[in-house]
Amino acid sequence: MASALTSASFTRLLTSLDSDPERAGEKYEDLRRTLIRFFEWRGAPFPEDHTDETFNRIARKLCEGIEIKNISAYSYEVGRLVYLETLKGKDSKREPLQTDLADKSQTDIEHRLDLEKRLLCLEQCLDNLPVESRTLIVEYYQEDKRDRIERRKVLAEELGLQREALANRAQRLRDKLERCVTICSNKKSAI
Amino acid sequence: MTNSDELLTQYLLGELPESEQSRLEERYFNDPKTFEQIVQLEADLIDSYNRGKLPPELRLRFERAYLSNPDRSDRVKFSAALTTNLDQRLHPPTVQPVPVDRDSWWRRLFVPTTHRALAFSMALALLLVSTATLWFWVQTRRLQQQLANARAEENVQEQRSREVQRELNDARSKADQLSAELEHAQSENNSQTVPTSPRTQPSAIATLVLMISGVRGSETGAAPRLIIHKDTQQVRLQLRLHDTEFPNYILVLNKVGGNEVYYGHRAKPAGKSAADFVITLPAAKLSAGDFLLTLKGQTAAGDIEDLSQSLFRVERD
Repeated sequence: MASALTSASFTRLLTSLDSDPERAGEKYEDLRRTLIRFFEWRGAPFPEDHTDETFNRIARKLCEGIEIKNISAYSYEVGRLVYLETLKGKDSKREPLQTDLADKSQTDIEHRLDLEKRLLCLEQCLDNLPVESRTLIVEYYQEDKRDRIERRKVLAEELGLQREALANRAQRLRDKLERCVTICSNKKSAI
Repeated sequence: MTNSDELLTQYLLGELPESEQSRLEERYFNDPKTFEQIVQLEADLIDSYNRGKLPPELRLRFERAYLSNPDRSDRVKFSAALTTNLDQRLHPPTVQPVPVDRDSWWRRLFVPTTHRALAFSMALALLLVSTATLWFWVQTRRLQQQLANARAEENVQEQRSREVQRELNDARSKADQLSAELEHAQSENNSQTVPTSPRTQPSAIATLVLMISGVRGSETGAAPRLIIHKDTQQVRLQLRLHDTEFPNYILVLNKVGGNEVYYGHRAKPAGKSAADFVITLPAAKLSAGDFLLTLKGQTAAGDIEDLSQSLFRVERD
Protein backbone atom coordinates (compact mmCIF):
# COMPACT_ATOMS: atom_id res chain seq x y z
CA MET A 1 0.00 0.00 0.00
CA ALA A 2 1.33 3.46 -0.89
CA SER A 3 2.57 5.49 2.08
CA ALA A 4 0.93 8.86 2.64
CA LEU A 5 2.23 12.09 1.18
CA THR A 6 3.64 14.47 3.77
CA SER A 7 2.32 17.99 3.91
CA ALA A 8 5.50 19.36 2.37
CA SER A 9 5.59 16.96 -0.55
CA PHE A 10 1.88 17.42 -1.24
CA THR A 11 2.35 21.18 -1.25
CA ARG A 12 5.26 20.78 -3.64
CA LEU A 13 3.16 18.66 -5.95
CA LEU A 14 0.33 21.20 -5.96
CA THR A 15 2.72 24.07 -6.62
CA SER A 16 4.16 22.22 -9.59
CA LEU A 17 0.67 21.98 -11.09
CA ASP A 18 -0.18 25.65 -10.69
CA SER A 19 0.99 28.61 -8.67
CA ASP A 20 -2.60 29.48 -7.77
CA PRO A 21 -3.70 27.10 -4.95
CA GLU A 22 -7.31 26.83 -6.14
CA ARG A 23 -6.39 26.06 -9.75
CA ALA A 24 -3.71 23.66 -8.51
CA GLY A 25 -6.34 21.78 -6.49
CA GLU A 26 -8.57 21.47 -9.57
CA LYS A 27 -5.69 20.28 -11.72
CA TYR A 28 -4.75 17.75 -9.05
CA GLU A 29 -8.30 16.36 -9.04
CA ASP A 30 -8.37 16.22 -12.86
CA LEU A 31 -5.03 14.44 -12.99
CA ARG A 32 -6.12 12.04 -10.29
CA ARG A 33 -9.27 11.24 -12.25
CA THR A 34 -7.24 10.65 -15.41
CA LEU A 35 -4.83 8.33 -13.64
CA ILE A 36 -7.63 6.30 -12.02
CA ARG A 37 -9.31 5.84 -15.38
CA PHE A 38 -6.01 4.94 -17.01
CA PHE A 39 -5.48 2.14 -14.49
CA GLU A 40 -9.07 0.97 -14.86
CA TRP A 41 -8.89 0.93 -18.65
CA ARG A 42 -5.67 -1.03 -18.45
CA GLY A 43 -7.42 -3.53 -16.22
CA ALA A 44 -5.15 -2.98 -13.22
CA PRO A 45 -6.56 -3.93 -9.81
CA PHE A 46 -6.78 -1.18 -7.12
CA PRO A 47 -6.71 1.81 -9.49
CA GLU A 48 -6.89 4.33 -6.65
CA ASP A 49 -4.00 2.80 -4.76
CA HIS A 50 -1.88 2.84 -7.91
CA THR A 51 -2.83 6.47 -8.45
CA ASP A 52 -1.69 7.35 -4.93
CA GLU A 53 1.56 5.48 -5.53
CA THR A 54 2.07 7.43 -8.76
CA PHE A 55 1.59 10.74 -6.96
CA ASN A 56 3.94 9.61 -4.17
CA ARG A 57 6.70 8.93 -6.67
CA ILE A 58 6.20 12.24 -8.47
CA ALA A 59 6.21 14.12 -5.17
CA ARG A 60 9.42 12.37 -4.10
CA LYS A 61 11.13 13.46 -7.32
CA LEU A 62 9.99 17.02 -6.80
CA CYS A 63 11.27 16.99 -3.23
CA GLU A 64 14.63 15.74 -4.53
CA GLY A 65 14.81 19.01 -6.45
CA ILE A 66 14.13 17.58 -9.90
CA GLU A 67 12.33 20.00 -12.17
CA ILE A 68 9.41 18.52 -14.09
CA LYS A 69 8.22 20.73 -16.94
CA ASN A 70 5.17 18.74 -17.99
CA ILE A 71 3.57 17.10 -14.96
CA SER A 72 0.80 15.48 -17.01
CA ALA A 73 3.19 13.73 -19.36
CA TYR A 74 5.44 12.76 -16.47
CA SER A 75 2.44 11.39 -14.58
CA TYR A 76 1.66 9.14 -17.52
CA GLU A 77 5.22 7.80 -17.60
CA VAL A 78 5.26 7.09 -13.89
CA GLY A 79 1.73 5.66 -13.99
CA ARG A 80 2.71 3.37 -16.83
CA LEU A 81 5.69 2.17 -14.82
CA VAL A 82 3.47 1.47 -11.82
CA TYR A 83 1.10 -0.43 -14.12
CA LEU A 84 3.92 -2.52 -15.58
CA GLU A 85 5.06 -3.38 -12.05
CA THR A 86 1.59 -4.76 -11.34
CA LEU A 87 1.96 -7.05 -14.33
CA LYS A 88 5.19 -8.38 -12.90
CA GLY A 89 3.26 -9.51 -9.89
CA LYS A 90 4.29 -7.02 -7.22
CA ASP A 91 0.61 -6.55 -6.40
CA SER A 92 -0.39 -10.14 -7.03
CA LYS A 93 -0.37 -10.86 -3.27
CA ARG A 94 -3.43 -8.67 -2.78
CA GLU A 95 -6.74 -9.98 -3.97
CA PRO A 96 -9.39 -7.53 -5.18
CA LEU A 97 -11.92 -7.04 -2.41
CA GLN A 98 -14.83 -7.60 -4.75
CA THR A 99 -14.98 -11.09 -6.09
CA ASP A 100 -18.27 -10.86 -7.90
CA LEU A 101 -16.82 -11.53 -11.33
CA ALA A 102 -19.20 -12.18 -14.15
CA ASP A 103 -20.55 -15.63 -13.54
CA LYS A 104 -23.13 -16.95 -15.87
CA SER A 105 -24.36 -19.24 -13.14
CA GLN A 106 -25.24 -16.23 -10.91
CA THR A 107 -28.93 -16.51 -10.55
CA ASP A 108 -31.47 -14.09 -11.88
CA ILE A 109 -32.58 -13.55 -8.31
CA GLU A 110 -29.14 -12.32 -7.27
CA HIS A 111 -28.99 -10.01 -10.28
CA ARG A 112 -32.42 -8.70 -9.50
CA LEU A 113 -31.67 -8.14 -5.81
CA ASP A 114 -28.46 -6.31 -6.69
CA LEU A 115 -30.30 -4.15 -9.22
CA GLU A 116 -33.06 -3.38 -6.73
CA LYS A 117 -30.52 -2.33 -4.15
CA ARG A 118 -28.76 -0.03 -6.61
CA LEU A 119 -32.05 1.42 -7.84
CA LEU A 120 -32.97 2.29 -4.26
CA CYS A 121 -29.57 3.90 -3.72
CA LEU A 122 -29.82 5.75 -7.01
CA GLU A 123 -33.16 7.27 -6.01
CA GLN A 124 -31.65 8.50 -2.77
CA CYS A 125 -28.58 9.87 -4.53
CA LEU A 126 -30.69 11.59 -7.21
CA ASP A 127 -32.84 13.16 -4.50
CA ASN A 128 -29.69 14.62 -2.95
CA LEU A 129 -28.81 16.45 -6.18
CA PRO A 130 -30.03 20.00 -6.83
CA VAL A 131 -33.06 20.04 -9.14
CA GLU A 132 -31.14 21.48 -12.12
CA SER A 133 -28.48 18.78 -11.86
CA ARG A 134 -31.08 16.04 -11.56
CA THR A 135 -32.89 17.35 -14.63
CA LEU A 136 -29.66 17.57 -16.59
CA ILE A 137 -28.70 13.97 -15.80
CA VAL A 138 -32.16 12.69 -16.68
CA GLU A 139 -32.38 14.62 -19.94
CA TYR A 140 -28.83 13.82 -21.00
CA TYR A 141 -28.85 10.07 -20.45
CA GLN A 142 -32.51 9.28 -21.09
CA GLU A 143 -33.10 7.32 -24.24
CA ASP A 144 -36.05 8.29 -26.36
CA LYS A 145 -36.87 8.01 -30.03
CA ARG A 146 -34.72 10.95 -31.05
CA ASP A 147 -31.14 10.47 -32.12
CA ARG A 148 -28.83 10.75 -29.10
CA ILE A 149 -26.55 13.35 -30.67
CA GLU A 150 -29.48 15.45 -31.82
CA ARG A 151 -31.14 15.26 -28.39
CA ARG A 152 -27.98 16.39 -26.62
CA LYS A 153 -27.46 19.19 -29.11
CA VAL A 154 -30.96 20.49 -28.37
CA LEU A 155 -30.35 20.19 -24.63
CA ALA A 156 -27.10 22.18 -24.93
CA GLU A 157 -28.92 24.92 -26.81
CA GLU A 158 -31.69 25.02 -24.20
CA LEU A 159 -29.15 25.38 -21.40
CA GLY A 160 -27.02 27.89 -23.30
CA LEU A 161 -23.94 25.67 -23.13
CA GLN A 162 -21.40 24.46 -25.65
CA ARG A 163 -21.84 20.76 -26.37
CA GLU A 164 -18.51 19.89 -24.82
CA ALA A 165 -19.29 21.85 -21.66
CA LEU A 166 -22.64 20.07 -21.37
CA ALA A 167 -20.99 16.69 -21.90
CA ASN A 168 -18.35 17.45 -19.24
CA ARG A 169 -20.95 18.62 -16.76
CA ALA A 170 -23.14 15.56 -17.36
CA GLN A 171 -20.18 13.21 -16.98
CA ARG A 172 -19.04 14.79 -13.71
CA LEU A 173 -22.56 14.51 -12.33
CA ARG A 174 -22.65 10.90 -13.45
CA ASP A 175 -19.31 10.19 -11.74
CA LYS A 176 -20.65 11.79 -8.56
CA LEU A 177 -23.82 9.69 -8.72
CA GLU A 178 -21.80 6.56 -9.34
CA ARG A 179 -19.64 7.18 -6.25
CA CYS A 180 -22.76 7.87 -4.20
CA VAL A 181 -24.48 4.67 -5.35
CA THR A 182 -21.32 2.61 -4.75
CA ILE A 183 -20.98 3.87 -1.16
CA CYS A 184 -24.70 3.40 -0.51
CA SER A 185 -24.89 -0.11 -1.93
CA ASN A 186 -21.68 -1.16 -0.08
CA LYS A 187 -23.27 0.07 3.16
CA LYS A 188 -26.41 -1.93 2.44
CA SER A 189 -24.33 -5.02 1.65
CA ALA A 190 -22.40 -4.64 4.92
CA ILE A 191 -25.57 -4.69 7.00
CA MET B 1 -19.56 4.87 -35.14
CA THR B 2 -16.82 7.10 -36.58
CA ASN B 3 -13.25 5.91 -37.18
CA SER B 4 -12.14 7.76 -34.09
CA ASP B 5 -14.92 6.18 -32.03
CA GLU B 6 -13.93 2.77 -33.40
CA LEU B 7 -10.33 3.31 -32.30
CA LEU B 8 -11.39 4.51 -28.85
CA THR B 9 -13.79 1.57 -28.48
CA GLN B 10 -10.97 -0.83 -29.31
CA TYR B 11 -8.88 0.92 -26.65
CA LEU B 12 -11.63 0.54 -24.07
CA LEU B 13 -12.01 -3.14 -24.92
CA GLY B 14 -8.25 -3.71 -24.64
CA GLU B 15 -7.92 -4.63 -28.30
CA LEU B 16 -5.29 -2.14 -29.44
CA PRO B 17 -1.63 -3.14 -29.80
CA GLU B 18 0.59 -1.83 -27.01
CA SER B 19 2.21 0.88 -29.14
CA GLU B 20 -1.15 2.34 -30.17
CA GLN B 21 -2.41 2.16 -26.61
CA SER B 22 0.61 4.12 -25.41
CA ARG B 23 0.20 6.70 -28.16
CA LEU B 24 -3.43 7.25 -27.26
CA GLU B 25 -2.66 7.40 -23.56
CA GLU B 26 0.06 10.02 -24.09
CA ARG B 27 -2.47 12.01 -26.07
CA TYR B 28 -5.22 11.96 -23.49
CA PHE B 29 -2.89 12.68 -20.59
CA ASN B 30 -1.88 15.88 -22.38
CA ASP B 31 -5.24 16.71 -23.95
CA PRO B 32 -8.26 16.85 -21.58
CA LYS B 33 -10.66 16.93 -24.55
CA THR B 34 -9.49 13.54 -25.76
CA PHE B 35 -9.78 12.17 -22.23
CA GLU B 36 -13.35 13.43 -21.84
CA GLN B 37 -14.22 12.02 -25.23
CA ILE B 38 -13.12 8.54 -24.13
CA VAL B 39 -14.94 8.80 -20.81
CA GLN B 40 -18.17 9.79 -22.54
CA LEU B 41 -17.81 7.13 -25.17
CA GLU B 42 -17.39 4.57 -22.42
CA ALA B 43 -20.54 5.78 -20.66
CA ASP B 44 -22.56 5.59 -23.87
CA LEU B 45 -21.13 2.16 -24.69
CA ILE B 46 -22.07 0.78 -21.27
CA ASP B 47 -25.55 2.32 -21.43
CA SER B 48 -26.10 0.86 -24.90
CA TYR B 49 -25.06 -2.54 -23.58
CA ASN B 50 -27.58 -2.32 -20.76
CA ARG B 51 -30.30 -1.23 -23.14
CA GLY B 52 -29.57 -4.21 -25.43
CA LYS B 53 -28.52 -1.96 -28.29
CA LEU B 54 -25.09 -3.36 -29.03
CA PRO B 55 -24.71 -5.59 -32.08
CA PRO B 56 -24.10 -9.21 -31.02
CA GLU B 57 -20.41 -9.26 -31.92
CA LEU B 58 -19.69 -6.01 -30.07
CA ARG B 59 -21.75 -7.24 -27.14
CA LEU B 60 -19.51 -10.30 -26.82
CA ARG B 61 -16.34 -8.19 -26.97
CA PHE B 62 -17.79 -5.82 -24.38
CA GLU B 63 -18.72 -8.61 -21.96
CA ARG B 64 -15.26 -10.15 -22.28
CA ALA B 65 -13.58 -6.86 -21.37
CA TYR B 66 -15.98 -5.44 -18.80
CA LEU B 67 -17.67 -8.21 -16.90
CA SER B 68 -14.48 -9.96 -15.85
CA ASN B 69 -13.04 -6.90 -14.10
CA PRO B 70 -14.56 -5.89 -10.70
CA ASP B 71 -14.25 -2.10 -11.16
CA ARG B 72 -15.61 -2.17 -14.70
CA SER B 73 -18.33 -4.62 -13.72
CA ASP B 74 -19.43 -2.20 -11.01
CA ARG B 75 -19.62 0.55 -13.60
CA VAL B 76 -21.87 -1.66 -15.73
CA LYS B 77 -24.11 -2.35 -12.73
CA PHE B 78 -24.40 1.34 -11.97
CA SER B 79 -25.34 1.99 -15.58
CA ALA B 80 -27.97 -0.76 -15.40
CA ALA B 81 -29.57 1.02 -12.44
CA LEU B 82 -29.31 4.43 -14.13
CA THR B 83 -30.76 3.36 -17.46
CA THR B 84 -33.55 1.42 -15.74
CA ASN B 85 -34.42 4.44 -13.61
CA LEU B 86 -34.34 6.89 -16.53
CA ASP B 87 -36.22 4.62 -18.89
CA GLN B 88 -38.93 4.01 -16.30
CA ARG B 89 -39.43 7.78 -16.04
CA LEU B 90 -40.03 7.88 -19.76
CA HIS B 91 -42.14 4.73 -19.95
CA PRO B 92 -43.64 4.05 -16.55
CA PRO B 93 -44.78 0.42 -16.27
CA THR B 94 -48.55 0.20 -16.82
CA VAL B 95 -50.87 -2.18 -15.09
CA GLN B 96 -52.85 -4.33 -17.51
CA PRO B 97 -56.57 -4.13 -16.76
CA VAL B 98 -57.95 -7.44 -15.61
CA PRO B 99 -60.87 -8.54 -17.78
CA VAL B 100 -64.14 -8.74 -15.88
CA ASP B 101 -65.41 -12.24 -15.75
CA ARG B 102 -68.95 -12.92 -14.73
CA ASP B 103 -68.04 -16.47 -13.69
CA SER B 104 -68.08 -17.44 -10.05
CA TRP B 105 -65.18 -16.41 -7.86
CA TRP B 106 -63.81 -19.92 -7.52
CA ARG B 107 -63.78 -20.38 -11.27
CA ARG B 108 -62.00 -17.04 -11.68
CA LEU B 109 -59.37 -18.18 -9.20
CA PHE B 110 -58.53 -21.25 -11.21
CA VAL B 111 -58.74 -19.78 -14.72
CA PRO B 112 -55.09 -18.64 -14.80
CA THR B 113 -53.93 -22.17 -14.02
CA THR B 114 -55.39 -23.45 -17.27
CA HIS B 115 -52.61 -21.54 -19.04
CA ARG B 116 -49.31 -23.25 -18.27
CA ALA B 117 -47.01 -20.36 -19.03
CA LEU B 118 -48.94 -18.00 -16.81
CA ALA B 119 -49.12 -20.60 -14.07
CA PHE B 120 -45.36 -21.03 -14.25
CA SER B 121 -44.86 -17.25 -14.09
CA MET B 122 -47.11 -17.02 -11.05
CA ALA B 123 -45.19 -19.80 -9.36
CA LEU B 124 -41.91 -18.05 -10.14
CA ALA B 125 -43.30 -14.74 -8.88
CA LEU B 126 -44.43 -16.45 -5.70
CA LEU B 127 -40.97 -17.96 -5.29
CA LEU B 128 -39.34 -14.53 -5.79
CA VAL B 129 -41.66 -12.91 -3.27
CA SER B 130 -41.02 -15.70 -0.77
CA THR B 131 -37.26 -15.40 -1.24
CA ALA B 132 -37.40 -11.63 -0.87
CA THR B 133 -39.57 -11.94 2.25
CA LEU B 134 -37.15 -14.45 3.76
CA TRP B 135 -34.21 -12.22 2.91
CA PHE B 136 -35.85 -9.19 4.54
CA TRP B 137 -36.70 -11.23 7.61
CA VAL B 138 -33.08 -12.39 7.95
CA GLN B 139 -31.81 -8.82 7.47
CA THR B 140 -34.27 -7.50 10.07
CA ARG B 141 -33.15 -10.09 12.62
CA ARG B 142 -29.52 -9.24 11.97
CA LEU B 143 -30.20 -5.52 12.37
CA GLN B 144 -32.08 -6.14 15.61
CA GLN B 145 -29.14 -8.15 16.95
CA GLN B 146 -26.68 -5.44 15.94
CA LEU B 147 -28.84 -2.81 17.62
CA ALA B 148 -28.96 -4.85 20.83
CA ASN B 149 -25.15 -5.29 20.72
CA ALA B 150 -24.65 -1.58 20.08
CA ARG B 151 -26.88 -0.67 23.04
CA ALA B 152 -25.02 -3.09 25.33
CA GLU B 153 -21.69 -1.59 24.25
CA GLU B 154 -23.04 1.91 24.81
CA ASN B 155 -24.02 0.97 28.39
CA VAL B 156 -20.56 -0.48 29.07
CA GLN B 157 -18.91 2.66 27.74
CA GLU B 158 -21.16 4.90 29.81
CA GLN B 159 -20.21 2.94 32.89
CA ARG B 160 -16.53 3.18 32.01
CA SER B 161 -16.87 6.91 31.52
CA ARG B 162 -18.50 7.26 34.97
CA GLU B 163 -15.67 5.25 36.53
CA VAL B 164 -13.03 7.41 34.86
CA GLN B 165 -14.80 10.54 36.02
CA ARG B 166 -14.90 9.16 39.56
CA GLU B 167 -11.17 8.40 39.47
CA LEU B 168 -10.48 11.87 38.12
CA ASN B 169 -12.46 13.46 40.94
CA ASP B 170 -10.56 11.33 43.47
CA ALA B 171 -7.25 12.35 41.97
CA ARG B 172 -8.25 16.02 42.05
CA SER B 173 -9.28 15.93 45.67
CA LYS B 174 -6.03 14.14 46.57
CA ALA B 175 -4.07 16.81 44.73
CA ASP B 176 -5.96 19.56 46.57
CA GLN B 177 -5.28 17.83 49.84
CA LEU B 178 -1.58 17.55 49.13
CA SER B 179 -1.39 21.21 48.09
CA ALA B 180 -3.08 22.23 51.34
CA GLU B 181 -0.66 20.11 53.35
CA LEU B 182 2.29 21.59 51.51
CA GLU B 183 1.12 25.11 52.11
CA HIS B 184 0.59 24.33 55.75
CA ALA B 185 4.08 22.83 56.04
CA GLN B 186 5.61 25.84 54.35
CA SER B 187 3.75 28.31 56.48
CA GLU B 188 4.97 26.40 59.55
CA ASN B 189 8.57 26.75 58.31
CA ASN B 190 7.98 30.47 57.54
CA SER B 191 8.99 29.89 53.91
CA GLN B 192 8.34 32.71 51.39
CA THR B 193 8.54 30.60 48.28
CA VAL B 194 5.37 29.42 46.55
CA PRO B 195 5.44 25.97 45.07
CA THR B 196 5.24 26.13 41.34
CA SER B 197 2.62 24.00 39.70
CA PRO B 198 4.09 21.44 37.41
CA ARG B 199 1.84 22.85 34.81
CA THR B 200 3.75 26.10 34.56
CA GLN B 201 7.15 24.47 34.10
CA PRO B 202 8.31 24.94 30.58
CA SER B 203 8.53 21.64 28.69
CA ALA B 204 10.40 20.57 25.55
CA ILE B 205 7.11 19.20 24.16
CA ALA B 206 3.83 21.12 24.20
CA THR B 207 0.79 18.88 23.90
CA LEU B 208 -2.82 19.70 23.07
CA VAL B 209 -5.58 17.11 23.08
CA LEU B 210 -8.57 17.96 20.94
CA MET B 211 -11.92 16.22 20.96
CA ILE B 212 -13.93 15.86 17.82
CA SER B 213 -16.52 18.51 17.16
CA GLY B 214 -18.82 18.68 14.13
CA VAL B 215 -17.89 20.57 10.99
CA ARG B 216 -21.03 22.62 11.24
CA GLY B 217 -21.22 22.71 15.00
CA SER B 218 -21.09 26.03 16.72
CA GLU B 219 -18.34 26.76 19.26
CA THR B 220 -19.92 27.22 22.62
CA GLY B 221 -16.85 28.25 24.56
CA ALA B 222 -13.38 29.71 24.16
CA ALA B 223 -11.02 27.87 21.82
CA PRO B 224 -8.48 25.69 23.61
CA ARG B 225 -5.08 27.29 24.08
CA LEU B 226 -1.68 25.86 23.35
CA ILE B 227 1.07 27.68 25.12
CA ILE B 228 4.50 27.39 23.51
CA HIS B 229 7.37 28.47 25.73
CA LYS B 230 10.70 29.71 24.50
CA ASP B 231 12.44 26.39 25.03
CA THR B 232 9.59 24.23 23.66
CA GLN B 233 10.98 22.28 20.75
CA GLN B 234 8.09 20.17 19.61
CA VAL B 235 4.35 20.45 19.49
CA ARG B 236 2.11 17.43 19.72
CA LEU B 237 -1.50 17.67 18.65
CA GLN B 238 -3.71 14.74 19.56
CA LEU B 239 -7.14 14.35 18.01
CA ARG B 240 -9.53 11.89 19.65
CA LEU B 241 -12.04 10.19 17.38
CA HIS B 242 -14.65 7.94 19.00
CA ASP B 243 -16.18 6.40 15.94
CA THR B 244 -13.99 5.36 13.01
CA GLU B 245 -16.23 4.59 10.06
CA PHE B 246 -13.83 5.44 7.23
CA PRO B 247 -10.89 3.29 6.13
CA ASN B 248 -8.62 6.31 5.76
CA TYR B 249 -8.44 9.77 7.20
CA ILE B 250 -6.78 13.04 6.25
CA LEU B 251 -5.59 15.67 8.72
CA VAL B 252 -5.12 19.25 7.58
CA LEU B 253 -3.79 21.99 9.81
CA ASN B 254 -4.17 25.58 8.64
CA LYS B 255 -3.38 28.89 10.22
CA VAL B 256 -6.58 30.92 10.19
CA GLY B 257 -6.15 33.45 7.43
CA GLY B 258 -2.79 31.92 6.51
CA ASN B 259 -1.12 28.90 4.94
CA GLU B 260 -1.49 25.22 5.38
CA VAL B 261 0.91 23.96 8.01
CA TYR B 262 0.35 20.23 7.87
CA TYR B 263 -1.35 17.70 5.59
CA GLY B 264 -1.25 13.99 6.29
CA HIS B 265 -3.04 10.70 5.79
CA ARG B 266 -3.89 8.23 8.53
CA ALA B 267 -5.30 4.73 8.26
CA LYS B 268 -8.06 3.52 10.52
CA PRO B 269 -6.47 1.54 13.37
CA ALA B 270 -7.10 -2.17 12.84
CA GLY B 271 -9.74 -3.74 15.07
CA LYS B 272 -10.60 -0.52 16.88
CA SER B 273 -13.66 1.66 16.75
CA ALA B 274 -11.90 4.70 18.25
CA ALA B 275 -8.65 6.38 17.31
CA ASP B 276 -6.13 8.91 18.53
CA PHE B 277 -4.48 10.74 15.69
CA VAL B 278 -1.26 12.47 16.60
CA ILE B 279 0.55 15.22 14.73
CA THR B 280 4.06 16.08 15.85
CA LEU B 281 5.50 19.33 14.53
CA PRO B 282 8.49 21.53 15.22
CA ALA B 283 7.32 24.28 17.57
CA ALA B 284 8.71 26.87 15.16
CA LYS B 285 5.98 26.00 12.66
CA LEU B 286 3.27 27.39 14.89
CA SER B 287 3.34 31.13 15.28
CA ALA B 288 1.01 32.91 17.70
CA GLY B 289 -2.56 33.03 16.51
CA ASP B 290 -5.54 30.86 15.66
CA PHE B 291 -5.27 27.49 13.95
CA LEU B 292 -7.83 25.15 12.47
CA LEU B 293 -7.37 21.37 12.44
CA THR B 294 -9.66 19.66 9.94
CA LEU B 295 -10.31 15.93 9.98
CA LYS B 296 -11.53 14.41 6.72
CA GLY B 297 -12.72 10.88 6.07
CA GLN B 298 -11.80 9.15 2.88
CA THR B 299 -13.90 6.31 1.56
CA ALA B 300 -12.54 3.30 -0.24
CA ALA B 301 -13.82 4.93 -3.41
CA GLY B 302 -11.65 7.96 -2.79
CA ASP B 303 -14.35 10.39 -1.81
CA ILE B 304 -13.40 12.81 0.85
CA GLU B 305 -15.80 14.14 3.43
CA ASP B 306 -15.14 16.78 6.07
CA LEU B 307 -15.81 15.28 9.50
CA SER B 308 -14.73 17.91 12.00
CA GLN B 309 -12.92 21.17 12.49
CA SER B 310 -11.13 22.00 15.73
CA LEU B 311 -10.09 25.58 16.42
CA PHE B 312 -7.31 26.35 18.89
CA ARG B 313 -5.14 29.31 19.78
CA VAL B 314 -1.37 29.34 20.06
CA GLU B 315 0.24 31.66 22.55
CA ARG B 316 3.97 32.12 22.73
CA ASP B 317 6.11 33.61 25.44
